[in-house]
Amino acid sequence: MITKILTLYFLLIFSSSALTLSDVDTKTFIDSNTFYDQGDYKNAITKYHELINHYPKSGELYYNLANAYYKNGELGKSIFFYIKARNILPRHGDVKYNLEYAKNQKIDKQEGNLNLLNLFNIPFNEDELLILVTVFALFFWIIMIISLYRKTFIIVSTRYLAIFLLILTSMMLIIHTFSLKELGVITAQETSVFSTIGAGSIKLFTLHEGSEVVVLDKKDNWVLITLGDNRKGWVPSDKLIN
Amino acid sequence: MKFYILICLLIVANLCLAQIQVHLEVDSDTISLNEVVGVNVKVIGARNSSTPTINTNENFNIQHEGSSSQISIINGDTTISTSHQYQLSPIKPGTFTLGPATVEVNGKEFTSNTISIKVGGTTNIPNKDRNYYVEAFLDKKEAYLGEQVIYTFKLFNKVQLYNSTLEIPKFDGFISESLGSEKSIIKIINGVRWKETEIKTLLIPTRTGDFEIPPASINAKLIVSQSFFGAETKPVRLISETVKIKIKELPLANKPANFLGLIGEFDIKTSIEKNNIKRGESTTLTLEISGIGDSRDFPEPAIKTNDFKIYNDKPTFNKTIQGDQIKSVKTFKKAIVPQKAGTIMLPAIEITFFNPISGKYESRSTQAISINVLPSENGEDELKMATFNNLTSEKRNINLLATDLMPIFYHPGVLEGNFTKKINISHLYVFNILTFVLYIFLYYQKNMRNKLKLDVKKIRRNKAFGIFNKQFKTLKHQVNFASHASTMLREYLGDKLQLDGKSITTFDLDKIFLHSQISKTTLIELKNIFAKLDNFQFGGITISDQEKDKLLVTLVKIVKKLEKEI
Repeated sequence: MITKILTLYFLLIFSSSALTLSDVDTKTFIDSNTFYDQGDYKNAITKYHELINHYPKSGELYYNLANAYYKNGELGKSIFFYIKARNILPRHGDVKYNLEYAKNQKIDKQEGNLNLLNLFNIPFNEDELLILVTVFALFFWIIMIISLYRKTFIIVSTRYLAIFLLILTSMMLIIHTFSLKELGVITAQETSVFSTIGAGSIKLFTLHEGSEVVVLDKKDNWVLITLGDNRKGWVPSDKLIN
Repeated sequence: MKFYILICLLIVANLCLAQIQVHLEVDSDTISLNEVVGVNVKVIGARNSSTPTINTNENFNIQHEGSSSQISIINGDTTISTSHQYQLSPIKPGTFTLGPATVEVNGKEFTSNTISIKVGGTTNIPNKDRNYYVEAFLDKKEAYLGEQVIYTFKLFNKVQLYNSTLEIPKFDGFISESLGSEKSIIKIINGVRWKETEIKTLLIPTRTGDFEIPPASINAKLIVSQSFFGAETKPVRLISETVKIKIKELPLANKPANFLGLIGEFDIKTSIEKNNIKRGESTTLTLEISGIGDSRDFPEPAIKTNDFKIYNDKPTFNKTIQGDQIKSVKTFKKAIVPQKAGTIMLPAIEITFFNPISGKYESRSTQAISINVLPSENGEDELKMATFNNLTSEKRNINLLATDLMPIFYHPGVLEGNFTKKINISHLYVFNILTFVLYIFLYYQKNMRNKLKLDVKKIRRNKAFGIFNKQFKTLKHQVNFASHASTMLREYLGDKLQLDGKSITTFDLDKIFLHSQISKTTLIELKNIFAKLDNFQFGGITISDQEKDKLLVTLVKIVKKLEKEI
């Protein structure tokens, strides 16, 4: 009976299938890269966007798109997509470098507000954390099963290690999930931030292209943003990307 | 000696028995807004009391000045008292209640009386008739958004003031910048020597509208009289008037399209590191925007040219206060790389600012710069090199290539993503649940097994019917039918009742089932079958197949009954 259950279980584990890549998408990807190399950034941007609709979790695509936006002179959008790429590829050196490179071009000084956008610098993306949590949970239950039959020092110690790893990764996942904020980046060369909805209200401060903001609310064609240091106000929605 | 000890004991006894009283007193219960009055809290009957806390209901500022203790013996009565002195200054006009004061002695709280204090407006004595007064004013009644405004606070005194502490108001709606420490001068007016102390603050309005800057105040001490034992002082509080200002929006008329929010009076200068360079080499262009006003937020000036590739470095900013003005310098450095050989003109760069003095938008521009570009030595047309200078420290100790973005990803495999995209997380969840269920199952099974191991009697009882059934299937064809059937039945009873089954006889049955739950009918039937089997076994009677069948039916019937009843 036990043998049957275990066989069925391991069959299920190893039955997962990998994603397959279609020829059309491969061609679109090669075409968009060719447009990029030829300096036709607008067409490259269009193609990358098409691909992102099919592969919304490809950090490399966001990175390529951000590069194309940067080369096309759209600093705000490039910073926005570099950040999206960094969220998926948090440890990739090129993504980090290009994001910093683009940020150096922006006008507004925002070093103090970085904490707001990235509360805890967790070096894993959400999927990786989910996988880590589930793998460590599996590890934990397997160790628990082994410890039913063998209670050596190594097994008991490994059980504590499994508990520790499971708690650690679960905490990281919780922190990551609860610290997620909707990011916005100013795309207009210069935009005023108003105290209330409507261009007739009091101008609180001015932001320039590439400034990162946190989106708090949306109403009509206006977006309520904050810089995190008690500076909050409404911006026309066409002045930023989020 | 005994007498002194007795006296001390009497004093201590008196002190312990004394009743504790707390009194709150003020020097005057009618004061003006710019006056400071003394408050005294007297604690009678305790020496080691805590510092009293006085409830001001947030209508007064109160400051503890010190305390003193006193022991007096009058006609044998000993009184101990502690006085705590405070300075009280009102915040707003009106009639307010001060107190009670609360003091803690040996963990017990004692409260005082309360006092009603009437606070009038500021006293309107002409300044020339006073010994001291303060003034606060702005250098303008109206200003444009972002224009520099100077707030001045002045203290005039012809008598000496000590321990002055100044409270500058909060400048809501302005960015404030101190214009240095206070400056004092002596003036002789109508033969009287006046000391004038001045503190200036530079304000930059950040919002439009009518603003009121709240009063500033000074708390100080005035010497009333001096003697051999020291000076007697009186606290004084001086409050300035509220200052009003109107902040206007920048004029919309004639506002240039390239105006980027620069307010003040500025100039722009350019300089080029080398005028003669080879194609593909870089040279540094420096743009310096300097003048009166804050240029911190001024963006990178754009240069419209296709003849050069331009790489911007991080700008530097420096701000100084000269006189009563903020002067700033923002420096932009750009590495420029010519794209073709020949004499190329770097176009003029223009900046626009609003000058609040003239009330107009003004612009300044640089001269176009001519650069002589020689063909590159190796003839490579596409050579694009640029020096990456450490411009912030003006040192050129690093010459590295770092002028463009990192390249894009080319391999289509990136669409498939890394391992995270290949793993189906829902499968992982299922595996987790399965592992958990497997654990629970194995845990339960192990537990059951352990339990059964411990409970052998239970196993024997539970297995009795199974063993009987197994043997029953082959019973009919056994050579010694009666002997086998008898043994089976005895062993069944033995297993069921935890006895040695083989030794059970017909005569034992009454004893065994004396207190048992089986019915009398079942017992009689059991005895009968035992007797029958004994007869066949030991009586030498041959059993026919018909009898065998009857016995088998009876045997099964009786075992099933016993299974139910035991």
